[in-house]
Amino acid sequence: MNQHSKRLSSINASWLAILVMVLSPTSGLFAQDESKEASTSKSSAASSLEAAKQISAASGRPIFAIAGRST
Amino acid sequence: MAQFVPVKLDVASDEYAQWRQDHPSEGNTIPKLFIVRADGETLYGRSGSLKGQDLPNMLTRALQNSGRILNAKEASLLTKAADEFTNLKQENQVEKAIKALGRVRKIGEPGKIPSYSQPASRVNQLAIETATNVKTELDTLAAKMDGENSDKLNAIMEYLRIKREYGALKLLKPELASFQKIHTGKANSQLTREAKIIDAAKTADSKSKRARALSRLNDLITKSEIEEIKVLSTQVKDGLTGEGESLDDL
Repeated sequence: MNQHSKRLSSINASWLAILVMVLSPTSGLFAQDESKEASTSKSSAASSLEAAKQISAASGRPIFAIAGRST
Repeated sequence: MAQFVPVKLDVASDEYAQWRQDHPSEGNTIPKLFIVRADGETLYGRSGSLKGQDLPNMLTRALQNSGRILNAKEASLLTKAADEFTNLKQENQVEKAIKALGRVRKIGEPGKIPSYSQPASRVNQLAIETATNVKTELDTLAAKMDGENSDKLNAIMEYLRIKREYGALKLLKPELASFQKIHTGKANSQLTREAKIIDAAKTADSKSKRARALSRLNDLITKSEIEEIKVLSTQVKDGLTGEGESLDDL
């Protein structure tokens, strides 16, 4: 594995780790209660930034954004 | 309840270029984490992942600064109240408009709802704008209280109207209480007491209330020691009887 691919896999691994940790139902931070949510919120990442902004503005929930390289 | 809106951003995308401009962050490496409040304020923006308890701790801190999160019912209630307020205000139905705004009180006091969501911000803004305008009106009225009896009576009548129409807006409570204490106390007690009778007559909305109002206006016309009260009482009485009612009819 060359240096570049090593770096990429390290980034992807940490990104994945963060997502798994944050989105984990046991974390409580993204636990769902569909009946009580404003807007069309989902526990998975919003399909687009615009949708995330709309959900956030409607409900008051802050946006959790992870910026990385698309693979 | 979900407390965050998670989203992935591609650093090569145009939208991320814009995002970077809107949300300053520390570091140049990826991944980069951001927490952005509903009003667009950046609460966290930094390169690198957080380990152990650092991530939950950071998210907990961010939530503490994110204000109240609304459920669907609350968001809908706020939107409906803001729409109703706007429509009723346009129709000059001020008292009903303020009551419509007050229906969100279980979420928070209009003007002070602790949420950065758009529906809450809209209700807050409407309440604050209204309160600011009324405070300016009260200041103008307070200046008139140094004038002649006719100015004072006009000012008290306007104060009574404002209190009736806007009294349910808690943001105005201190200003209304202050005006009452300073300007309707001992020195103007008779003027205020009799002005209240005239105000009640102007707003009498049933046959029995109008009958009682006419009777009390007649008392003022014959017994008041203040000329301006007699004149205004006569005008209001004429207005009431001009609507097709007289004491004999009632």
